[in-house]
Amino acid sequence: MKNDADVNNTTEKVGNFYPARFFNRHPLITGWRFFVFFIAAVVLIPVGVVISSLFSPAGDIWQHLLETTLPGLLYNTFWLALGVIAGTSLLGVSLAWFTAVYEFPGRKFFSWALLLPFAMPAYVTAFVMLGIFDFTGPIQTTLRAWSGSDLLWFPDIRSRMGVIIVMTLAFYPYVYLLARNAFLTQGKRSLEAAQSLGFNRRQGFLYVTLPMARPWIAGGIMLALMETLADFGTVAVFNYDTFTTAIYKAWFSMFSLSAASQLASLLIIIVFILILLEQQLRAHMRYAETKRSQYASRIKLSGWRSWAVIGFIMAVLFFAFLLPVSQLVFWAVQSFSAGFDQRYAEFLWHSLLLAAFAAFITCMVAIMLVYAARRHHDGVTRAAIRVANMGYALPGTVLAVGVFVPIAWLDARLSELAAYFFQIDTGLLIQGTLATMLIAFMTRFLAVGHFPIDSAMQRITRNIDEAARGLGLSSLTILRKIHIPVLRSGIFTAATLVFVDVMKEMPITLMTRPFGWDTLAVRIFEMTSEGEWEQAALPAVTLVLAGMIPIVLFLRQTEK
Amino acid sequence: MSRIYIGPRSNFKYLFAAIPFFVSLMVLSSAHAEQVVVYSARIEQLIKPMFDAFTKDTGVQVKYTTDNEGALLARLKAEGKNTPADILITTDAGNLWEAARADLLRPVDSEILEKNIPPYLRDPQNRWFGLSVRARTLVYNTRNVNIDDLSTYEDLANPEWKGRLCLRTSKKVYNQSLVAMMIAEHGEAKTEKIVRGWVANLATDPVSDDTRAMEFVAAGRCDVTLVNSYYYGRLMKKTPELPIAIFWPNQNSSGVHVNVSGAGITKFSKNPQAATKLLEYLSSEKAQNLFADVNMEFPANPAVKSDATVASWGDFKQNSLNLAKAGELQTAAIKLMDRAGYR
Amino acid sequence: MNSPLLILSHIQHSYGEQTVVNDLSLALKVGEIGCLLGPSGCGKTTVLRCIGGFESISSGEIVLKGVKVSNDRYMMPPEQRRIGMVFQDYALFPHLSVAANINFGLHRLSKPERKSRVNELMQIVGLADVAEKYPHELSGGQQQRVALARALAPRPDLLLLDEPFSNLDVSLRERLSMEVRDILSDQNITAILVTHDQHEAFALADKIGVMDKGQIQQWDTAYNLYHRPVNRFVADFIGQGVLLPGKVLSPHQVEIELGVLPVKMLPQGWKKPDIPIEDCKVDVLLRPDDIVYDDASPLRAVITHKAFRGAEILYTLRLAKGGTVLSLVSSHHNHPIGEKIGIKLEVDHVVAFG
Repeated sequence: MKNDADVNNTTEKVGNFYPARFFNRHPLITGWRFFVFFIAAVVLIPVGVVISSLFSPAGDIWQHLLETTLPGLLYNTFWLALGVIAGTSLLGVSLAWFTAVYEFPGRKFFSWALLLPFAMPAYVTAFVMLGIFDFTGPIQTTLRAWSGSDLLWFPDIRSRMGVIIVMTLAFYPYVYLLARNAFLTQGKRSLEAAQSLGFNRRQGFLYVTLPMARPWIAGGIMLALMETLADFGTVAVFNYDTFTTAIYKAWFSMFSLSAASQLASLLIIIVFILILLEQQLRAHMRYAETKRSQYASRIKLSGWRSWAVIGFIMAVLFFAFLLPVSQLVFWAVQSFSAGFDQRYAEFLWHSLLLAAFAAFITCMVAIMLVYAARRHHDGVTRAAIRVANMGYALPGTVLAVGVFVPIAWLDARLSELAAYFFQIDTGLLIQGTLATMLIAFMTRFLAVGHFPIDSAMQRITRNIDEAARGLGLSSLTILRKIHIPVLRSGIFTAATLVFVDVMKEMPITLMTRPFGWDTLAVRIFEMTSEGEWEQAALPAVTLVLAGMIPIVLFLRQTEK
Repeated sequence: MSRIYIGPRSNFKYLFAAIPFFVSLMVLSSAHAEQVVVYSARIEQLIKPMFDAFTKDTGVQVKYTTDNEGALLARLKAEGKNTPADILITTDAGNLWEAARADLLRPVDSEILEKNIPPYLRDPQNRWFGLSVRARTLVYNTRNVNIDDLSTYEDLANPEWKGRLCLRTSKKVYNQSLVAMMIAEHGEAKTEKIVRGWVANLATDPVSDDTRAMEFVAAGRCDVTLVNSYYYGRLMKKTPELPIAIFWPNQNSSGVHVNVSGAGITKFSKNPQAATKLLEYLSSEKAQNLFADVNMEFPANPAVKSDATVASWGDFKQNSLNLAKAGELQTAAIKLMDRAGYR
Repeated sequence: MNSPLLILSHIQHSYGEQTVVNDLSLALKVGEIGCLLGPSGCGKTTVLRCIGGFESISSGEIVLKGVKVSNDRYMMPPEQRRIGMVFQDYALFPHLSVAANINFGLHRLSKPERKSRVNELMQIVGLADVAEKYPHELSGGQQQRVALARALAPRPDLLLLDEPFSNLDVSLRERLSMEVRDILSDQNITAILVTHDQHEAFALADKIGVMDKGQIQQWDTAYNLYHRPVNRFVADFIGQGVLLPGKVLSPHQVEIELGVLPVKMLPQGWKKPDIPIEDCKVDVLLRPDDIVYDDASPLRAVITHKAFRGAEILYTLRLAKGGTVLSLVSSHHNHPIGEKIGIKLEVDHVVAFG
């Protein structure tokens, strides 16, 4: 007993020095808001580097682009974006609905297996699909040999539809994951209410479940859309020109940084408008679900319905995962002797380490942002958080340069200071360190971590906060003891997404990695940049397998 | 005793605890035993053997990192005089020209390099040097094409090739360099007419890489294409039965368009002597064989013999216009291809 | 015409191995308000969900308006049953405004019809001024009304209310349950309410079924449940009271510590074979209002506990031989704990259990 009292006493005393307490007493300069602004600034700097050249003259390149390729690029980008939005939402939402609401043979397995395609880098899927379905691929070759005709009626995979299909297969897991999360936590109560009002299940899904899951679905679609707009690898494989293609071309081929930045700024503005629109649409609504229905029994599917659903899921799994992975494995076995290197363990270790740290830091920051927004739901804080999520929409290389420039600048100033004050040559202090990499990854993937955690937080009613504060807990304690446990599934989702995304990421890894610090993605880059796709299969397969680790681990957590 | 219990509630403790961790992550690049730092757009497998040999012969360490040309240039620019890099290696002349134009490279005064590398494969001010030659040539379907019908790049614009041509995308620098060199030779108007002719003759949309273009030729989707010779070598090594062969165009005129994989020493190199030593080494007979053969390219040093397979493709006349033109006219070439609708 | 609107006959529902509803039957006439009352876990909500079509039954059948809606093989989907439901947590659609929530079930009506119906309902439940607000902007009582209005809007044949007032505070609960009762009888709605709160049940229902272990123990009026419980469970669950041991003197007389009571009918099975009648024991239920304060009475008991109830005080009394009874006494008669007071028995009809 006495010990207990002691403990309490000490805790009280120490408590006075909590930064959190300090912030609580000075609501105008709260630490939470300060934190949000700081993170927003960290993200804004690279974006700012890109935007800063918005008004510098870009010569006649603009004129040239307007007269030649730009209209076509915009047209291409628009239809690609629309196609991927339609594809990912159709696929993601329907699959989420099937696995969340119905019961059929293999449902448990499928519900996590459907996430596996997320471990496939989109450009790898693209290359494999092209290899299989293109004119010289096995399918068309066999069909030609078999039919004896030139098979010119065969749909050309190197087309808009081809890119849309490949990107849909690669990006639908974003929508699937978030929508499924929404359907599972929503419970069936609202659907039952709709049924009691004379709607059948399908109508109830359309008019109630779907609209109620809108923030989650929209979040997933936004992620897929941002990924699509920022993609360079996949469209390059298909030689499908988009806005991002133009950015790369202006920068790296026409050597016009200003034209590239102006194009990138335009992209940023478009994405920002999209985010604002999406938020505006649900400004009045709150989605805190009252209570999870205790009667969450699944609806049993039988007969042809069950087979139809299983067939649909298998088809998606086949094209999005099994087929590309089998092709990769086939190549990997073929090129194993030539491609294998004892450094693979090191590559794998680096990839995992990097992904784990980045996922941890990104999720921590995302949690803080989400919590800050909860404490201060004013416009400024919200706007700052939106800014902090912008990094995901920028093409990787553009953001990589955007991150690198200020860090190099800071390094130069630091070394000047050191030289001036201490007459020593410090060399480069910041760049080429893992810390730089982690900051860069956080900048890029904050949106990926933010969406799931933010949606999860929307489900916690504010009464909980008030009750906890009434018990005298500091805001950090509330966050740690109440929100984080409740947000668990959201955090796991976020961590998995960031983890896998970081493993797949290429441009930032390439530019900011320390000397000799190669990862699997670097290895894939080295092989593919010389067109050695077969050789890239080994690191790609390793990457996919490693990417499955958190997916499998994470599912153990949510499938309870 | 009670202090132990404080921990869990003082959340910021974790943050402070993390600081030494992050500091330890900042692995400082110290140790200045003689070493050369290389930024390379040529991938690890194609440079490491030479660097290992160099270190073995001279004791000078080589540290390198690989990335895309564009990213490496952006990095050099951002780092300015703090750059750790001594040498920049690229896989084409255009980017070397841009690096020189952006004042990222320094002139190198080396008799050995001047002797080993012919003038048209290096910068007129010796800021960069080609180290291996990559020939952009014709590959045709041996069943559908009579070799006598093949002659020049320009000829592929003629209507008899309608629906018989495959091209790699214009976004690849090799095609940009080719068109730039054509502009240097023919002027813009004539070149544009030629490129428009190519586009009109395309059998299918431009493809994303040279290997696929050759596979299309082999499968009969089209009859002829333009590729770098080493891609041909690689593909034939894997599938020798393909009905395709190499043809050296423009032998009676300007010669085959060549590009280089080359290198220059950075303006703010901390160790230019060692860097020069490495460049000289790479131009030497010993390294040249390694450098070119590892990727079935041609040595830049005319005194060095090609690999046997590569030599079997026959001797050919190279276009000896200085490659700096490829960089100089690259933007013009891209604009021209955009106008011509070459994607 | 007088045939029941809803008939449940011998329905059974199992959840895995566990039988939640066991051989349950009831019938409800048009305009009647029924109630299933019982402790949590007794299966009452499951019965409601079976009627609503959200759960299947493994035997028996449910007939609504003469139509079989559920049996062991068939289950009419909820949306075809014309049954309205008010959920415990209201299950309002968070993405729709109040008016849109009420309008939701009116999809079969024309636009003007819908509009007038929504307005009518908002008048009925007194929500006209919050039509364009969203559920999260409303108080608990308002949300309750929206849920009721939404369920009533399509004019269901039967309304199901699942613990409708459990999320509200006590005073609001009482006021709202009166209001709901008035609305339901005004509109001649047939309804079934599920609750664990007997006051709610008494306030709303015409007939109440006390449930335990998946079965209705007694289906009766509030009065009868209180005064004529059929078994110990009902006696214990409804109201307050004690069971005092009694000795059977004859089939119409029982003796307890407080005297001899006339009995109309003893419980079935009171007479054990092989045991002489004078040795048969029963327990007699005594409600607090069966024990009346009387200073003049020779019967005396010690106050061991008292609970002030405003107009009355509930005394717990110890009898001379150690038995305990409860007595509800006007609060004028305020006595300290430990004092002896005079009491007498005033029992209309004796309830005894074997």
